[in-house]
Amino acid sequence: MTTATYETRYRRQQRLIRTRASAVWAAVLTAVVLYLPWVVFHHSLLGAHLTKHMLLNMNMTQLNVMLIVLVGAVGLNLLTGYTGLISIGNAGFFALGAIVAATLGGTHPGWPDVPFPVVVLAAGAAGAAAGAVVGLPSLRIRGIYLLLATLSLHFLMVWLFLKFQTTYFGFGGIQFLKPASLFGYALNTDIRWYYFLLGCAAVALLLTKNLLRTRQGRAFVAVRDHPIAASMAGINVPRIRVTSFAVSSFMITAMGAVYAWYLGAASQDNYTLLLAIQFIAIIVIGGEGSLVGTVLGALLWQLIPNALLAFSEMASGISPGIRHTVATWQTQIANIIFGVLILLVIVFSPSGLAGLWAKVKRTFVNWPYTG
Amino acid sequence: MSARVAADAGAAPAPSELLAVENVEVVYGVSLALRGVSFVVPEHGAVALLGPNGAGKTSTIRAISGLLDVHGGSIRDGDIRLHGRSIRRLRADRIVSSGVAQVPEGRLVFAHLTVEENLRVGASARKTPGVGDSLDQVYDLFPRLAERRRQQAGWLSGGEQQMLAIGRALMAAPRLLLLDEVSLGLAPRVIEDIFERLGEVRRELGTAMLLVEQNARVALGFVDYGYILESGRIVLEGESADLRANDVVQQSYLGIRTDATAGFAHVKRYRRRKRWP
Amino acid sequence: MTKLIQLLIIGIATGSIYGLIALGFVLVYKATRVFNFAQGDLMMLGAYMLTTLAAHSLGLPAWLAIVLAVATGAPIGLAFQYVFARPLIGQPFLPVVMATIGASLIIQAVVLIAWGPLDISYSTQFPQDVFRVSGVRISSFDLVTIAIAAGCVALFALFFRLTTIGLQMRAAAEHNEAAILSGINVHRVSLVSWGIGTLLAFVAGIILANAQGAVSFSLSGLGLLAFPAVVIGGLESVPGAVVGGVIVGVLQALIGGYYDPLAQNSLVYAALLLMLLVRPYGLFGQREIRRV
Repeated sequence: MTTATYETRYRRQQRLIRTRASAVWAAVLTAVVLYLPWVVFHHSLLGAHLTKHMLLNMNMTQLNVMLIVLVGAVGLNLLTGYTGLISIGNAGFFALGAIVAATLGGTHPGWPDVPFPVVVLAAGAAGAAAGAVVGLPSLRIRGIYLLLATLSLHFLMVWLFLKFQTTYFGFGGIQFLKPASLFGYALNTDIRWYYFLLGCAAVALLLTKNLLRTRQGRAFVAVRDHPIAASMAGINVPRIRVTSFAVSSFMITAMGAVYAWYLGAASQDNYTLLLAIQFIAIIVIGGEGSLVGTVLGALLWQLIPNALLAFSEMASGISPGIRHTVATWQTQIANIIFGVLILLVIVFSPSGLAGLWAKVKRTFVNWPYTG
Repeated sequence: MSARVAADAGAAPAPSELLAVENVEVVYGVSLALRGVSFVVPEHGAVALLGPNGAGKTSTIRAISGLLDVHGGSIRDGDIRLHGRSIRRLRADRIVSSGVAQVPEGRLVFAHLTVEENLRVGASARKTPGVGDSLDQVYDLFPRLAERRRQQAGWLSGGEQQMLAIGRALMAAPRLLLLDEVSLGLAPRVIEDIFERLGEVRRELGTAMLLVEQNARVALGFVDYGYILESGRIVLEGESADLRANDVVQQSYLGIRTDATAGFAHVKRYRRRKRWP
Repeated sequence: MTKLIQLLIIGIATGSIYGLIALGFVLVYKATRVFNFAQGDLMMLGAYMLTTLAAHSLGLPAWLAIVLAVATGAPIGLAFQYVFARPLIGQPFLPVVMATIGASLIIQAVVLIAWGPLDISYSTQFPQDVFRVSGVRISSFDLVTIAIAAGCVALFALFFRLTTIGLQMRAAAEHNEAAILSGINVHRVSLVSWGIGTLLAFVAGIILANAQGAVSFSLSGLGLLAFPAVVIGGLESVPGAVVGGVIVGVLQALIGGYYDPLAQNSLVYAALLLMLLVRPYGLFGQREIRRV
């Protein structure tokens, strides 16, 4: 009987995938994730047909949006979960990304027309710069005041977007008519977008995971846990905070550009405080300070509204009214569920679903010495 | 030198017992602060709890007042009985309304409230009528407070704040007064003054008192009976006269050196020897 | 010049409404240390409650509807405390804020489901006439608003200063542990604070419903303006909340009048930001001393 996993070399301990078991899981996960779009697109699993309900009404657009949101949430988690800087300004940064995308993406006659990947990176850079600037006041303001500062930023940035939109595009919103293309390879189908976005997500997750394994990353966590002790340990707390803001905003803003381009349009109504709150819900429910949690949170965020609809359709046999009610109020009911989940998580499992999962795993590992 | 008295677990309370603490264990998370402490405060009596810093005296007071959870602690075992009734699980304000009021360490007056408001707050849990009478009594006892009744408490001197804290506790018409480090930070004359008033309270109101003190001399001059607490255990108890006469108490707590050889070497040797046979 | 005075009056009127919301917020914060992100949504809930009780739905006479609508604020506040504040006692600060953000989500969703996304019009019984004083147009409703808000603040101040429970609330807000050991039932204090805080939010919402002649979801955004108010005034200051509210109202009116009505809700936050950078504890607040 194995009692634990022993590593005899530092090299082995540093590896991301440490045991045979996790290597297998990683391979399975990769296969699933790569095959997933075909399943959703064709509604068939290895040839067998799947009903809409089995897929929980998932379609490619939702899958792709989920990936976009995932990267944004990873950025937010880096800031809030790992560095302890609470921010409600994510929607504002999304809007900023759209502004950059519009400026550089050939949406307006006479404006530069820059290739898509460059636009995304430029958006990220703009976000990083803005984030660094935003991060500066965080040196003096902490906790709740930072939340209020980012709240102000939200309104100011959204207003900026509105000004931008109405000045150059009118109230109808900005249209992104040029299809995105990756070095000549046009992203004109959902499946192609999926793989691109999957790549983005993989990069974001791996980069963040790696960042957290470095000294820099551990400094983030130290600053979160006890900034004064951290500064006494030699960590340059202000610089860490600004860096965290910059990196996190890079991710969020870049995704803002991608989001605008993917949807093909961007208008002020997209960037509400509600959107920012959704991000917060994702990381809180999933588990702050856990990348696995972010993935779980994003999955849940996309699946709950779909599941609601699917269940209501199944229940419509029992009560026909349910289906209509749920369909009309799908978003609201989903929001209520999120709100309740946030509360439950905070009260019962502060480290989120990921924490819960870790506890479950530990119980199995330690069995029969549990409890 | 008397040995530690074994606790009579389960015996009916003696008729004159007001407060009985029985084998109480207090933990803060995983660290044990009180390891089975037992003592008694008789009706109308005055008892002192002495001991060095960190012995667990404040934890004892908090346990009696029901304030442990505010500080992340809890009573793991044992019982605390007031007139035979267990108060261990009562909420803090219920304990006050049952007749146990605390004068906390550090005074903890409400700095932005006036003196009179501070006193009235003390009557919050009171079940008996006569708040106005109690207020008058407190002002009689502490005329300085009467003079300053409309001033904000934050502006009072240390001694006046201590009087205010005592007055606030008295407003609850308690049968037992818990005094945590009343002498801390006060000049000797002020301390004398305060203990004189406490004596008056004892005589006129018959209130029982449990004093937690680092200043053993003053405490033993006031109370009838004392317990010495060290590292969460009671190591010695006795009538205050006996304790004052006790060699080890004199050396450790009263600063009286009877040994002719007094020097660093002596201190080192003293520390290494076991103190309580 | 007349324009300026007109804007000032409108600003003070709306500002006093924000002040009421802010006052409710500060009360809860002082007593329970909970930062209620959902305070503005509670205000909106109050406004919607009014429409249900008023002529449209239940056909009650206007004054009765208003009184009842205000009254429902108390039990809702108590329920809120029970569900959101009480389970979170002892939790560090930020999770509690997250919980109130979750509460905000829930309240907004419930409002949408219960009352629908369309505006609900409300015919106000309040005087709507406008009169002129040396060229300045003043709406009597604005004056009524200021009067009502001032009245509420005065009532509240009396309550806070003179009643026993008000004293207990002040003591608990100042030093929680000393309050407990003095025998104050802090649970009851917390409940009362939440009840009154929500009542104040409801009053604000009801006034707004009368002012705008309609109740819509946009009220939730308006409710958020309580936050600049509390920051400007000072997170723990009762007078600061009211003053902050008035300042926000005036700023809003000035921005709307002189620059761009579309910007008036957003640019106010620039003032909030400025305040945070310059004097985060607000005009009436005191610098915090943090123990290491």
